[in-house]
Amino acid sequence: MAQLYLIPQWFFGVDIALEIIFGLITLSVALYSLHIYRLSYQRECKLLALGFASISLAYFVWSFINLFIVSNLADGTRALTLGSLSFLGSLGVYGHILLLTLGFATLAYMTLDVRGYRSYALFVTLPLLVIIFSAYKALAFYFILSFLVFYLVIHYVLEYSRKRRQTTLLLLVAFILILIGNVSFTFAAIRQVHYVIGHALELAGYLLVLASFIITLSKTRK
Amino acid sequence: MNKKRTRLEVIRDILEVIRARSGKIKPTHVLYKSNLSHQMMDEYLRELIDKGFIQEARLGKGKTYVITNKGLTYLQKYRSIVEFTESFGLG
Repeated sequence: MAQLYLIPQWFFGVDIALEIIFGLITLSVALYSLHIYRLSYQRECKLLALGFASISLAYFVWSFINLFIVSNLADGTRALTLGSLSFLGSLGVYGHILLLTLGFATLAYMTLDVRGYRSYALFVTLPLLVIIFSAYKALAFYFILSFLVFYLVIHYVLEYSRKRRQTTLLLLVAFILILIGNVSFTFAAIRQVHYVIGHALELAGYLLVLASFIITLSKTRK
Repeated sequence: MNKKRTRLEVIRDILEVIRARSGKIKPTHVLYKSNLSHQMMDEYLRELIDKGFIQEARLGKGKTYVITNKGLTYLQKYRSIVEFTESFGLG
């Protein structure tokens, strides 16, 4: 049966806590971005809010999946096995996959100088359709996600080379770490250690997003 | 050489010009003070009206633009807006 990932026994619980932390960090950015959107009505702020809110929800759903849906294997390891999911389990897993893809696709779309609901709908629907109709959903999911995050890395490389801002550099490093974390998750169905490495890298990445966010807030309050 | 102004800066400059004139201004003054081409000024004024930052008012045969509370809030919070959008590489 196809497994999305294997969780080492000792790491179970830690992963849930980390996913909640990821969800809270991204939710904070989403809410502040929404606040800035209500002041400025800038399209990019709306998309950033939407993207981070979607990513936040995806992490909360993931923590729910890990808490209630993963199954115990004979050797004591826990695994998320796609073939044996109940209706609620399927809803959770596919919800997480779709929300995370939607979130990163929205962030990638935000960096483009393209406007209009039709182009946005096309941009976010295509990766979702590829995942839904792929025979190897887990592989397609991690591959597309890595590609979208890679696109964000390129965006922040260009932004940093233009403006040389400390906060932009932090975001650049953050998205590089999240990218490597995603690549690590691709192999989490084969080796447990990749599940741990993926979480550790994403923790470092999201903490840098938080650091950048806090520095930004402190500058505006001086 | 002056660097090209960002979209947020142009919006701030137009709103500042209107505020400096007691919150009400004629299009010709906007054109003169904002340092934009006529076409660009029209685009920005349309955008500001759509966003609710200014309102168009009739004054005899001509028209004037009036800054709204939303526009004034934008000016007050401008620094927060710029800091956030530039940090997160938006626009």
